[in-house]
Amino acid sequence: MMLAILFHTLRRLRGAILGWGLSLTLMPILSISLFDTLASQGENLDKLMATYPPEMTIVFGKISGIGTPVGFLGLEFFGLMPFLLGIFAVIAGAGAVIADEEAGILDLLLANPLSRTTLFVGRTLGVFLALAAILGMSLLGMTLAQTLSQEMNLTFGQLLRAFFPLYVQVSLFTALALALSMLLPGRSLAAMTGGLILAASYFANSMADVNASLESVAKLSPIYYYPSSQALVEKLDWTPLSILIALTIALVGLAWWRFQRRDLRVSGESLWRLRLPFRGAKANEGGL
Amino acid sequence: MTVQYAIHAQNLVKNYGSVQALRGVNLDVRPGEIFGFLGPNGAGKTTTIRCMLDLIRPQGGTLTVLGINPQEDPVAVRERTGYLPGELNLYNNYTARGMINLLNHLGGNHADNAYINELAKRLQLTLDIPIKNLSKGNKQKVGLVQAFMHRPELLILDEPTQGLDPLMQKEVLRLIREVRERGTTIFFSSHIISEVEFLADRVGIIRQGEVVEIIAPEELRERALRTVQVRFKSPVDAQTLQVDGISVLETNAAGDRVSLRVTGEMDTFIKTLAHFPVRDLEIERPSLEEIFLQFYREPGGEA
Repeated sequence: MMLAILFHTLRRLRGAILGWGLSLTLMPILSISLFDTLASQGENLDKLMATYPPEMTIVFGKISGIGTPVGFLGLEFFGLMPFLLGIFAVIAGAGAVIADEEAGILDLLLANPLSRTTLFVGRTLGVFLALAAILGMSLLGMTLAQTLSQEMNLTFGQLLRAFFPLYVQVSLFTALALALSMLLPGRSLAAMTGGLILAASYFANSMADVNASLESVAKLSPIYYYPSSQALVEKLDWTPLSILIALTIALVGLAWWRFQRRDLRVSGESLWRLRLPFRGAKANEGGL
Repeated sequence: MTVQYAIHAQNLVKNYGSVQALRGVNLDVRPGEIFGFLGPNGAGKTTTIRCMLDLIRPQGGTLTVLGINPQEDPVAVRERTGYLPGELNLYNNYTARGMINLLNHLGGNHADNAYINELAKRLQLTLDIPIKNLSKGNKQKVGLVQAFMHRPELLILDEPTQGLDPLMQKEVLRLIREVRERGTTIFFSSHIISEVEFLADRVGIIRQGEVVEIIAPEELRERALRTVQVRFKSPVDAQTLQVDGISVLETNAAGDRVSLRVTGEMDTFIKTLAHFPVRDLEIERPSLEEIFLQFYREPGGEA
């Protein structure tokens, strides 16, 4: 039964998997095809970059060593990915279970001999697998793109090592959005809150490169603990990764715990509502 | 294992914040019976049903379904139960067959294709059409097929005929009676009084979160007020019609047309009327609202 839920989740996400997967496959192919030109101008580029104001790093990340494979991929790909793919992670995580509930279908699904845990695990696993599929396609694209370059000579093992912490980081945002969807009144509010935390994490981490006093704020960002491009040249550092994985498990556990205990809402109901200013009629309490 | 009650609820309480949805529901449904659950919108019908499947959790009281506490073992309850929600929603990007197959997988693949096809044929449902192209009535048929397809011991149907045309409504009622013949217990909610009369062995009336009465369906009308219009061949003294259970509402100037209100059995009324030369008689069937009004009337007189 869990497999039926899992396959249904993957079927529901297949458009997103293809769209994001193909985009993130083409992205390294296109950028790596330009790398040889940049590599031959490596020193000059580094000198040029050094003349740019440090605030540029807020948007583009650390831009030193652009003529090296590690510096180039760090700037062109791994620096941006936690944020870009984080958007998908947050949206997918926020809707993993709640989308059915808000569509009023969860009652029908859970009227079958299916425990809430089975449904929760099937849906959540589906989203994590979708993320893995997207990154898997991208990894494949990056591996293939190596053949287009004379200078880019990273091994599959090196690339895999860099993709793994990236996967862990975006999974954390999926888990965060999933937990928020169980605590907040609706999917859109959970996605919005998760998105704000994602953006704040990304920019806090980037700004800390410019202003050292912001480092304490950046430490709140999961992105701070593991720049993926670092894994291209170094062994995996399991200490920060273990913390991120533990946080992900804790957030998924919190979401599961909440889902086990609360009432299922039929469409239109919510657990509570934000009392926004300029709101007209009293919020609908939902049908009985 | 045989159980005394297919559904047994005692002092079931459910609150949504400050809103008291169920204020102590007491209910017994016997195995093999068809039990109708009547009540106006917001009375607590759907809340009671959703407690039975552990979709929501009551704050007080006890509830067993097929002898099992749904909160303790919801999967065991759902394994033996077919459910049609009152507010049916389906995946629009699936065909009717795809949706039914998905639900069959979730149900443990107990339904066989031959029976699914038979149900679809009886309900005149084409299974290979995308859900998004189906009318409300046809979506309801998908909901009915998935509820019946596992041949469950207990069927919980929240407004089973809503959205269906009259012919199809009759077919669904026949289907419900047929599965009862096989020993299935049916618990259904409805707003259609004729449906409840035709189908139910007993009827539970719920009002503001409490089951106010459980009665035989024929009692519904017997205890309800009827308005009767009588045309006489010649003027009559309306006061002579006013006996126990009959009250005069209106008389025309000529005295040959009288509007009456009759309570209880019609026997006294017909025997009284037999003393007069009647040209025509029209009995207005009470609407569900009027019946509710009768049941819900407080001792003080206000409904």
